Amino acid sequence: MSYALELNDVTASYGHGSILHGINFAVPEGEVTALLGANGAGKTTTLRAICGMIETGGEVRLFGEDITGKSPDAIARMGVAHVPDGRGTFTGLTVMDNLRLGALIAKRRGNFRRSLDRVFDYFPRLKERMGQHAGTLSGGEQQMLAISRALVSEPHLILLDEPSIGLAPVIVKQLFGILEQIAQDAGVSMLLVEQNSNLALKLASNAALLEVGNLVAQGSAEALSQNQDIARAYLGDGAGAEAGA
Amino acid sequence: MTFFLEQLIIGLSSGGIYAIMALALVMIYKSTGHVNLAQGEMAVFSTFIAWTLVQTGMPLWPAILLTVAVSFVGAIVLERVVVRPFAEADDLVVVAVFVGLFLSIHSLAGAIWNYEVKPFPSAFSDGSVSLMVDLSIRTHTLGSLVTTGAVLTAVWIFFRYTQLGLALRAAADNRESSRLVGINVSLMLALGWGLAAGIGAVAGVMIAPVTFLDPGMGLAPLIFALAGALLGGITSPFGAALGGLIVGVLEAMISAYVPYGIEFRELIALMLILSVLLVRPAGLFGEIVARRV
Repeated sequence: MSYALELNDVTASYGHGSILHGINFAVPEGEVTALLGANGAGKTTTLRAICGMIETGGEVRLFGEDITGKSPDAIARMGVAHVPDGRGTFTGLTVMDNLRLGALIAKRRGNFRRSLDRVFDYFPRLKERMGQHAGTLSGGEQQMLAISRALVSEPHLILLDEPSIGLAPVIVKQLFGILEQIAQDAGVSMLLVEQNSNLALKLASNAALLEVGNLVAQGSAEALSQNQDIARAYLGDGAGAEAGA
Repeated sequence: MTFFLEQLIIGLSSGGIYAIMALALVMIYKSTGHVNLAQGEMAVFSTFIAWTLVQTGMPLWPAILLTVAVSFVGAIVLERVVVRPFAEADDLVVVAVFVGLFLSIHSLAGAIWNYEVKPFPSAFSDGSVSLMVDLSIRTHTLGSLVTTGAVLTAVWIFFRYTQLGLALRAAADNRESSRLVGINVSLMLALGWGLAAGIGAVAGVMIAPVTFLDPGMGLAPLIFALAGALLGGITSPFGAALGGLIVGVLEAMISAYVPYGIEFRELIALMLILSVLLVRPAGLFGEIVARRV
């Protein structure tokens, strides 16, 4: 099996505080992998380490190529689209300019119109908001914009950091429906960080579980969600209700 | 009436120069949060370079273009070497750096070209153009107005429609997200300095034929430009340019209609700065920046 992303013994720290203590996992090409864990487990840090946003040890490989220590913009240009924690909206720019920014690094320049049509198909709401300042969008709309910005860059790998956070359950359900569609349509590899495990495991084919900077389990999403011990200890019994399943 | 029109055109002409300088201030402010106090001195230094080139026999327009290019590159180097090391420093430290830059450039210009006031040739033919009966305007005044208008339009088109302009705006809006969409933010900061110095050089060669050239020439335009930028909103390029124009017209009107007005023009600019900061700190078109402490 070929991998979009491999993490070998990756460590990361902010200043003196070590956050990741050497984690190993991989994202198979063309599939959705979920990275689960409680608050503070190091999920967001893992994504930031992949993107070169923090001091990182060990080895990160993108489609076999070592990208450890490269700058975030260089990694982005290699086809990694990071939908960050907090959505990373360019608040002072229009929705259209936000999308144009996503397309800056698209390999095939002429495709912007088509990419745009595609994201407006997924998120018709954005089309109505095109000329508006992105900072005036609702949280859900900003999440849609962040995902769209990632899509128009024609990425090989999308990193999604808790897309469900702060959104109403009905919006979350809608969003995950569209994410599933994107995963099917595009054949793009995805690494999805979520606290909402039930939701994530439904979308993903593989999953890894983080606990305070260590990887404690990984496997197929099905196996992970059916393992009663893991479910009870890490995913929480009540997760089903929260997910609005 | 013709007298009023004459003053209006003169005001717009110098206002165009303040508008360019204000825009240069905004470019650096938007991306770094700092007001480049040395912007005026940089423009003066550029003007001296143009003057030297002309002295060697180069025609004025090529000299201006070369000066803009040299200023662009020089400012990029300046940003890298002098300003960048203090990027994360405290605000007061940065102010000190800018004051130091102001004094250094000022003294360097004085050391190289001395403090004697020099005439600077106009980029336009001498004489004046008759617009209507009783109203004739110096060719330089009109030419300067057209030039600054062209620069402002070009800058607007650049930022609005080109990918590089978009990337510059993005880097000013959100550095981290800019990196995530593949923008080299540190390159953008340097380019911002280069552009600001480039258009500042245009402002310098347009104003020098009016005020004459000496190392102290940059201070008054900087104060007027700052007043304009604050009036229009230092976070808004459009507002700052408009503010610059307004300040220019205000200056001309006060000089013309208020007894002894010409003596306290700069005082008016400072009063304008104070009133804007008191009444509407964000300026006419600026966004209110809330900072959590």
